[in-house]
Amino acid sequence: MASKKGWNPYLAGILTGLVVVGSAVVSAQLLGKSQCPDASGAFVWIAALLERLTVPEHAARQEYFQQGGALWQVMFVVGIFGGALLAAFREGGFKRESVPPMWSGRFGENAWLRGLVAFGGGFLAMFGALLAGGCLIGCGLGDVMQLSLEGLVALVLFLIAGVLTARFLYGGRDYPWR
Amino acid sequence: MEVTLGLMSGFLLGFFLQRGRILRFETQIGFLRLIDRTMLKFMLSALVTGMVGWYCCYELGLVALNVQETVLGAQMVGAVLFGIGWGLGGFCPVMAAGALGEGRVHALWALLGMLAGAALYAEAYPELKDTLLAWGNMGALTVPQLLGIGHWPLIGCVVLVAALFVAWMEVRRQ
Repeated sequence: MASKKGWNPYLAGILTGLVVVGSAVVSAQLLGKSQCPDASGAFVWIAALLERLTVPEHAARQEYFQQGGALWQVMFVVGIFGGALLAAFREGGFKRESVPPMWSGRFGENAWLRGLVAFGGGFLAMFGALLAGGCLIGCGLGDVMQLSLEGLVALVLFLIAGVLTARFLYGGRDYPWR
Repeated sequence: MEVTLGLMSGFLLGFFLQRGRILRFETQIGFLRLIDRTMLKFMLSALVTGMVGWYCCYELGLVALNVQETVLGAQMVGAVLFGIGWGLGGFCPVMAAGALGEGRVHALWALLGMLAGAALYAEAYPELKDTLLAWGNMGALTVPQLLGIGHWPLIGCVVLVAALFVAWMEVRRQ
């Protein structure tokens, strides 16, 4: 089913910038600290929870669980899921998809292969994000907006590594920039 | 309160990202393959809006800066790992959550991988603390501080360059 053409990406960007700054201002006013939305801590929180439920002694000894991860980040990620779900349903963009077309064009329709690589990709992305200090939105946008050097270093290397990886996986250009 | 704020900002972001088509695998990988500009346009406008917005609010005393330390060892290795993972999976954490909301179930695999990555990071943390996380700590530095200029001149330059770039991109389309 074809969905209507999406919003102008510039508009989506401006709105995103406003949400990030807005949430920092609101958190500064109401909570006394300016918080930049970042999703990476959400996964730490959930991992900590799961470990506390299954291997509590081991979890208790994990230093990182003391400081990394926050419930509000989990809610941030849940919110993203919810917002996207609602938006997709309302305009017909919702589509159950196991293998994206751009992937299947190159690697075939096997959903397990796609799942495996997605798992590996997610693993590396999260490990890297936690090392680097944030994910694409938290660090790449949120920290760069504040002109932090850390954000700039991260964003530049995110992009270089990402572009090279895509080049390696998918080969040279097929068609010119749209 | 913090939790409600997180939920609300996530909800708005998820909505905007879905409508902007940012969440799609095609948009992300297309961007990294340099054949799709949607993500580029999105990031440019988000960054410019955010820089101007943040610093305006900062001047008005509405918000403090929350600058993280630059630790080159951890950052460089981490960012490269992230980039590889992004290229492989096609998702960053935010995009994966949103893509799942759009019905792209393969994003669930990415999310599970992220969970595993977080768990393993916690395992490795004691080692990392003494190695990567300690190499090249430059402190909580901002780019203007590094360059020895004020933040508004830098923001002004960024806005100018971004505007010129956008103009060039849009004119070329004609």
